[in-house]
Amino acid sequence: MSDPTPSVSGMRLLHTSDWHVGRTFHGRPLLADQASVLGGLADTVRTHGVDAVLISGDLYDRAIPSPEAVQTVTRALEDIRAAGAVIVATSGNHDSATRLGAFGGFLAAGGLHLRTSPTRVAEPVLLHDADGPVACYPVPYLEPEIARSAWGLDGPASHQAVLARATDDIRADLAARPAGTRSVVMAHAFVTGGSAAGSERSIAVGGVESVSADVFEGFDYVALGHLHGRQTVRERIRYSGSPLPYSFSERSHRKSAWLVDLDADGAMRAEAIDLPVARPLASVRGRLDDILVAHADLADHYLEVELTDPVRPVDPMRQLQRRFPYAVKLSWQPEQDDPRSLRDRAPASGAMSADDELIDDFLSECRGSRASRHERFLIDGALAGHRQAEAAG
Amino acid sequence: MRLHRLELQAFGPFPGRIEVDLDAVGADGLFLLCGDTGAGKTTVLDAVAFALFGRVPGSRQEARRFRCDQADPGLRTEVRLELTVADQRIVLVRTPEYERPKSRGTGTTTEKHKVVLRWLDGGPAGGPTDGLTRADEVGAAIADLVGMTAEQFFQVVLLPQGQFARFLRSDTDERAALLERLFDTGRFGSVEDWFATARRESGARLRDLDDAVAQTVARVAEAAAGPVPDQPDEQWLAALRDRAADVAESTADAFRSARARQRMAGRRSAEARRIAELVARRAELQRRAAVLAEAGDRLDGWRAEVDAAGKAAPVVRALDAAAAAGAAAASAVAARDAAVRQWLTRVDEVGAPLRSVAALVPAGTRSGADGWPDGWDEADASGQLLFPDPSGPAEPEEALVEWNPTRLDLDDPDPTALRAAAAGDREQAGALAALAAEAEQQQRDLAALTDADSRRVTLAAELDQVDAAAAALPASITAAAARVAAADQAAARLPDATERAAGRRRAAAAATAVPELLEHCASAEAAAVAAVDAHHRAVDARHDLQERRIAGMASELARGLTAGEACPVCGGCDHPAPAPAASDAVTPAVITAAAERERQAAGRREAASAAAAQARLALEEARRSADGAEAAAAAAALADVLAEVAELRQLAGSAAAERDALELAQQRAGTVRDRHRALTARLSAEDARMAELRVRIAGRTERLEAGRAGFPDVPARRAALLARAGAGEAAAGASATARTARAGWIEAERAVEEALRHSGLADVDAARRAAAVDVDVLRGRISQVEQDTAVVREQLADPELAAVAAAAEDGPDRPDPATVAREAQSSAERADRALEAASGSARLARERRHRLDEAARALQAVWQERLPVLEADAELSALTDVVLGRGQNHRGISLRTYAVAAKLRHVVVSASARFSDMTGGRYSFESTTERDSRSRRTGLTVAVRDSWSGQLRSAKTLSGGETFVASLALALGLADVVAAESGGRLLDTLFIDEGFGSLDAGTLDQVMDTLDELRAGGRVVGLVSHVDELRQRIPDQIRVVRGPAGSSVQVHAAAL
Repeated sequence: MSDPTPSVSGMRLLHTSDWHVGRTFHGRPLLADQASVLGGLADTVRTHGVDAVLISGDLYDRAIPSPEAVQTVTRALEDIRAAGAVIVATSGNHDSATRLGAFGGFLAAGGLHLRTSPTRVAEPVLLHDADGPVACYPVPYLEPEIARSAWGLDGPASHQAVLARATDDIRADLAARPAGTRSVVMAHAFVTGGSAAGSERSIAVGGVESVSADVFEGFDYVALGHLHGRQTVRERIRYSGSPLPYSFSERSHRKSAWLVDLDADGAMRAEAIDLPVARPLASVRGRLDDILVAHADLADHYLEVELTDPVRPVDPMRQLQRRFPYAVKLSWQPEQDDPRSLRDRAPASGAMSADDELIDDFLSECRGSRASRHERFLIDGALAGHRQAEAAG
Repeated sequence: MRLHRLELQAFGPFPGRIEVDLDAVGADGLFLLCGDTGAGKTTVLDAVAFALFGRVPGSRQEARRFRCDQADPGLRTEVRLELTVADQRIVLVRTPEYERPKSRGTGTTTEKHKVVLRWLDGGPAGGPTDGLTRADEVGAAIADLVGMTAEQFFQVVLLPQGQFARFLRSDTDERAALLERLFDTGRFGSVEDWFATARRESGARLRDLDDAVAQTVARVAEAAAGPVPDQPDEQWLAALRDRAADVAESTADAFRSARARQRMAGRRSAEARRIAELVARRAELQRRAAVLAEAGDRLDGWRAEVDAAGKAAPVVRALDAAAAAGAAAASAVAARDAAVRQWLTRVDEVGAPLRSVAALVPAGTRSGADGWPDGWDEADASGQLLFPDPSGPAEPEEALVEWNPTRLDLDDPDPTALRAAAAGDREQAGALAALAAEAEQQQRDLAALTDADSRRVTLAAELDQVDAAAAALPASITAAAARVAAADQAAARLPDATERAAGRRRAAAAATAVPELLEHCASAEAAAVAAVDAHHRAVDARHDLQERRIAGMASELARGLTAGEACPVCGGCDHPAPAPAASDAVTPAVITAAAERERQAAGRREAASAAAAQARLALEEARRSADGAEAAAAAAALADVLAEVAELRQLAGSAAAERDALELAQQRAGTVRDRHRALTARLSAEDARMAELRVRIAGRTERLEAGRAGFPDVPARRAALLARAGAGEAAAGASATARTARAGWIEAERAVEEALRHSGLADVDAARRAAAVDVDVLRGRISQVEQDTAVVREQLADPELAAVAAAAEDGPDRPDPATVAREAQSSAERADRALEAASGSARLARERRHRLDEAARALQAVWQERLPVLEADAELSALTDVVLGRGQNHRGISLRTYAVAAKLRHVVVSASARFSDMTGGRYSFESTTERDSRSRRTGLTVAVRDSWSGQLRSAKTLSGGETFVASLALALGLADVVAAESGGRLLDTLFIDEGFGSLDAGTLDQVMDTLDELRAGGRVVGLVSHVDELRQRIPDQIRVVRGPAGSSVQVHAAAL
């Protein structure tokens, strides 16, 4: 299929990322949900006449995805392509760069641009509209070690250094292009100013995982991936977030994709297009009996339940699942602290009781009363005797 | 424990040497060992275990084959591990036991198991600085440093494939042992022991006190003479004391009344006795008076006897004296006779005529019938004899005159004569004294003569010897002189010989060197020829190149052409058809290079020629030195000369010694001569002395002969004369004594007659009879009777007796006083006995009371002492029971178990948090206090809480993947707690061998998230897995690659 002829001025892009196809949600398979949401993405493309879909990394959840996941992604991409947009996709920290980018050269001919190699960051995918070319630079997730050795960089490995080098190369290439070439950069990183949703995998290297946003200055639009919440770091630097919620902390997020219009003069407009919700998330807290009789509207939600019963309830999950088949997460946080649960909890981690405190606890637990004054004297004698014996030999 | 570096050689599937820098690989906290199945991933971990403990986990240990089969036979199997543990940096090098082919010969030999532990930072203070090489020492050191046995290590640090769940599933005893070891809760065990010991001691003390109480109670009971009650207490004690007091008082009262009665009876008895006595006495006195009157009649007779005895006494005395004198005279005569006989015997013995000193009586003096002069009995005033000598001088003179002892009157020998004879003998003896002294001297001289003779003999022998020696000397002197001359000669010839030897040596050396030099020369010449050839070739080459260049100059020039620029050859600016570049264009550089080579070749040629010339020169030199001789002959000649030199040297060396010998011989000759002279002189001296002695001896002999006069020698004669003199004097004394005694006897007889006449008695017998009466006795009797009579009269006049007499006459029917007295006496005796008894019982009661009081005080004191000890013991005993898990301890857990359980709780809590994370909040750990069915310990069971069902499940009911996650969580929890407690000393490193394959994608993700967090904690976790997903996620990898010739290792690390 050849590139569609640009019909309207201005480039219309759809920015999405972090599909994580194949991921399970607290043990529940999400493939069906993902398939439906991604289908919604294709509908959006069709509805809004999107020219190109930018997928900024983490298409798959694992380096070697299951066959079903591969099938789902293939179908999604085909649908999008059929809807009339080209696709530019990069690999994220979850994908295997090599596997995802297989046959990239051949796929490019069909309108699917897969860029997963760090050495080609400065080679743009050229998209054309009536106003001119738009140079789209897909930067895959750069593992600092590998990128550093590939480029022969000195100094310690860090995301900052590697991305700085990548963007420098991009700027150099851009400078070599005709003036007025609009630039779009895709990257998969944790940019300072963004907030994580908790379901992202840490990419910290040497304890640092974030990159300053200044690195991405000077481009018309920067399509970022990795964080699962939709957010705007800077006007032209945005995260699209994941199309589905992948943790209960995202239950309030409105999952969407950015619809970006780039005019000839570099003006940019961005609009968030909501994506269909496959199954909403909810979080409930209270006593088991109360929960079981209330919340009828949450029966089809993925449910996170926090039980506050003073006594641990028996077989709560089964009871809950009889009513809420999609209850997936359960924890028990009793309201008042009874001595038993106190004991179950750790003493402040790291604070080990001293020997005579331990003996005191022993006495109170096994006998019911703590040590009397004379008994304390005896205990001290016993401990001193042991210390002396140890010191002596 | 932090591993730094691991090196394997010919170990497992690795035939070569593998080096892994674990510091670099684990710098990020997490690394992956990946590779194909059987490549050797697990072997890397096995190597760590092997280096530390000499064994590997699991079934691979049973095979004990560590050596790589494909390794070179000469390459040793060895594992080297460098690590830091317990703040000490050590390196371990260990070789397993394996068979290898012998380096010499056929067959195999066993390479023994060897291990070396070295400290890289100096080692602990006081430890071995060279390291340890004995397996048992190393094992002990490792156990000490790591703090765990191999088994425990494989449960906690290195979770081996298929066995990671051991800690999770281990039984309580095993788990308790591991936890105790890790957390050092053994000290609570010693606290338990302390309590048990303290309780035993306290119990012993209490028992001692109880014994003391029992003893004191027994004492009390004994003092009270009562039984020992079951529960002795204060009341019993008080009752006893009261009773004893009562008894004491009552007996005291009884005693007092008995004493009063006794006194009364005594008085009555005394009175009765007195009266009876008086009566008896009177009767007695009267009887005695009657007796005495009788005796008075006999008094007169006794008085007459006394008188008669008085008169007879002196007569008797005189009789006795006369008897004594008679006896004395008889014995004196006997003695005199004996002495005279003795003297006569001596006279006969001596044989020499008696000579006595006598005064010669002038002629005409009358002599008696026996030849002796009248008045023989009367010696003259000087005690000398008078002797008739008709031809004698007119006046009496003294002379020694011969005297015949038969002239003595043996009945009454004259003492004076005897004395004179003795004096004559003494005088003769005195005359011999001087002669006796001479005899002694003669003896001495004879002895001296003998000595001198023997000395002379000795001297003569010596002289002979010396002469003989002197004869031999001259010859030895001559010989020594000759040897000295020879040595000097040899010394003179030595230098010349040495020089000849040097010359021959040179020749020999040269001869040996010739063939070698010949060879060297030949080779040098050959080299020179070769160098010349090379040079020629180089020259040719250069020429050749130059020609080619010139030939191709055209194309070279053509290359330099540019359109519009002038051509250097023709000046044209058009270059329509420049010459093509020759394919073999020669550049100036090439020429230069060729020229260089030529130059070098020339240099080498020069050098080679020079070398050849030198070699030839050397050869000629050598030939000349060898002087045409062959090597062997030259060597032989050299040997000859060297021998000669040696001989001469030896002789010359001995010169000094020979000279000394000569001197010595000469000295000796002189000495011998001196000696000869000395001996000769002494000999002549001895001869002279001997002659003198002989003369003296001869002179004396004659005199001595004369003086002997029939005796063996002079002193014998003198002695005999002295003896005779002594006997004579003795006889004289005895004779004088006899005479005196006889005179006395006659006198005594006369006195007896006188006394008898004076006494008026009839005869001697009557006197004796009268004197035989015992006068004293009679006198005594007389006075006694007179006395007694007077006394009796006096006593009868006593008024007391008169009273009694009166009383007795008054009432003859009154009871007999004696009887009365007897009765009173017996009642007094009865009263006495009663008093004694009462006194005894009173004393007994007092004593008993006293003893009882004392014992009671002692008992109270002991009770006082015991009370606090009892309380303390009870408290201690109760506490000890609790500590040991008994008594009031309703949970039945001992302190030690509780401590271990407490630690386990910490571990479980920490692990539970991780477990919950890794299972999406579903599972967590709980430690239960149920009693394990097989063990006494409690509180050490770890169970899994399923929050979905709220049930507590045994860890054994988890699935494979869940078990892996649980074990991992436990290992991490254990590591957390140990790190918090020991400052991270111990469980810094964790290895997990496989198990990830049993996890589904979601769980694997969660596990990896957890492990990712460890990176920041300074801990190092090493994973072995073939799961591809992990390869993606963990950048630091050790890839084990399997090849046909064995495995090898590639390390990808961020820090590299």
